[in-house]
Amino acid sequence: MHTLKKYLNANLIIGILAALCVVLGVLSWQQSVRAEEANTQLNSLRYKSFYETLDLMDNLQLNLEKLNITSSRTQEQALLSDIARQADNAQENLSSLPISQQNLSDALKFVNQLSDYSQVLGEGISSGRPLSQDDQLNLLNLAQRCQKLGDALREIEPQLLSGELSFQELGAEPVATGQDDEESVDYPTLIYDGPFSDGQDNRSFRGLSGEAINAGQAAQIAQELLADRQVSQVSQVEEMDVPVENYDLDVTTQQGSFSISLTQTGGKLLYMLPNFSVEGENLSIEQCIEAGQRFLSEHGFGEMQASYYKKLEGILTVNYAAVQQGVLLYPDLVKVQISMADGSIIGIEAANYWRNHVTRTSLIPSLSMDQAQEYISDRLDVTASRLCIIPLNSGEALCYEFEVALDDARYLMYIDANDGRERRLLKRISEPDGELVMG
Amino acid sequence: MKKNLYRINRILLFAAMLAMLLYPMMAQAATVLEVGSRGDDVVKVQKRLIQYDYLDGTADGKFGADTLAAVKLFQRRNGLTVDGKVGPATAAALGVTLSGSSSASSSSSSSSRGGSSDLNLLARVVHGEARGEPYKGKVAVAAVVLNRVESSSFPNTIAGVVYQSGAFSAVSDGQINLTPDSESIRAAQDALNGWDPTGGCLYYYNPNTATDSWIRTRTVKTVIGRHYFCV
Repeated sequence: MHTLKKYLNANLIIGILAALCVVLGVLSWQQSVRAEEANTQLNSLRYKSFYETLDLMDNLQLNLEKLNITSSRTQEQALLSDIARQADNAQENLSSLPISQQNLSDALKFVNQLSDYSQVLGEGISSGRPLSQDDQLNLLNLAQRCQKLGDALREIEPQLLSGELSFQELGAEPVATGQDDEESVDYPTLIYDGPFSDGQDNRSFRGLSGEAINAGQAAQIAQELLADRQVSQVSQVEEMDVPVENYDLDVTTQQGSFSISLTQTGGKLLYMLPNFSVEGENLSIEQCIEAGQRFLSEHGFGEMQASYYKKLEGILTVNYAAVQQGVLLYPDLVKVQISMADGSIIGIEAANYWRNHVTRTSLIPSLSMDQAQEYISDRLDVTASRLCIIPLNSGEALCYEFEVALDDARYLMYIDANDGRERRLLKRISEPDGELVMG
Repeated sequence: MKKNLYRINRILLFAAMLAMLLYPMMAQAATVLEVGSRGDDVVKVQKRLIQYDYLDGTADGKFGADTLAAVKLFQRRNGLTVDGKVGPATAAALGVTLSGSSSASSSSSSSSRGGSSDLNLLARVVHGEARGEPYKGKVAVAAVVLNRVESSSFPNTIAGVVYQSGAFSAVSDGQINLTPDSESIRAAQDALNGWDPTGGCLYYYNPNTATDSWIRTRTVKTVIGRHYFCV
């Protein structure tokens, strides 16, 4: 009896262990099958991106060459818009390849600029500026780069297909994009009026003037700024040279601590950021907007008008634009954060203001408001209008801002006050916690 | 006696086989919440809807008419299919992980531009990359993402930048799928509003943990918390 029990026990244990082994074996086999499947799927997506990029490079090259041949404006515009779309597409495909950022950045920059540049040229043609000889040379040069980039991709294609080169390995070296490689593609420098232009890197701070301040003066200004909250400590963190020479300070007050940046030229407030959160909402949105307005005029920002706002966690963030002779200057924007608990100003962002704020000289429109309104469709109800300056990709334009309504939706339409062109269309979004626009 | 034990053995084997059969099915079935659903997942969804001001009241864990209306509004505003059900896509856009779903991770940002899905994705990057950093350091991380979107050398959307191969460790280690806390959301919102403590930097690294030697060759412009920010 005793031995039988033992025997049975041993049998039971062996049985359980065997079952466990089988279960684990099957589970891990299933896991590996699924991992394999996932990997195959992922690689298929990567192959798709790879081949689409290759295809797009060929098409781009072809379209760029065609631009050199055609003499029809319509055809030129169609080609340029195709190129912009294809280059965008190439950008998306390239960035989904598993190539590290530093190895890919030159190629991305190339396709981004290609798209941007052809859009700018297309807009130029539609406003009566034909392609110049320089543009034609640039376009031919760009066609060659597309060919080289395509060739570089074609070169690694057989290795990728045979598995000799995995996508992981592809990511580790600057294939087709490298700087040191002899076969590398040498991308041209493009300067034009677009957001990705090489000329856009250093936007100057035109609104700054005055003497350079020293670190002691910076601490003094920061202290005065927050004098009403009993400053207990000002520590200068560091001098920074981006986006413009500034002093970066930490200020501790009874309310909490703030990070503040002051420009060296003129000691202007670049930004202030609260390192604490706000508890409670005791004030209305209107009261807070007014508090922000008061703060701006007390701190030398001149006449400003509130436009959009959003509430988050007891903090109201309000956009104020400068006003000159009744004209709203949207590029000269200051964003102010107001504590809804007590109406105190806890955050400011004024980098764009100091970049753009200069006295405008040409605020006289050639079109009257009524004339400009004729460019708006009759289907739309105009509910408000005013004169303003809006920022463009490069430069700015004097426009009439028309608030228009269609059914329940409200839009802001910007009609150029000099030539009647529709410059921009924004959709207004009204929510309980904010008044916003979408581009 | 012996028979009984064999029976137990057989039952064990049967249970194991059943588990094997069910295992893949369980892993694949994604939870979908709809009218009538109850429980912790519904509470999570409701809390998020209340936080984003789509829903009033408290999260009671019951998916009723009010929750349905809020879900539909959220879906409409975020470019999702307006079916009033919370499946993987809506859950991801809301930044909630439903406990039943195993494979619904990072597909939130594909469709809509601007608005709350961008905010949510950016907040998740901040939460995954800069938890424990000073507030300024959180805004700075979000600002770097946005500076990359503006730069010609990077993809042109927030999702494109965030999910670029090897760009952020929070994506590789899955921390990006954590639900962001309120401070991360606020930091992301501030960066979207234009606050940039980095002055336009495109990179950052933690000098104590960075393994990439290339990143150390970049010019450091400022140090915030444990991160070096560079161009």
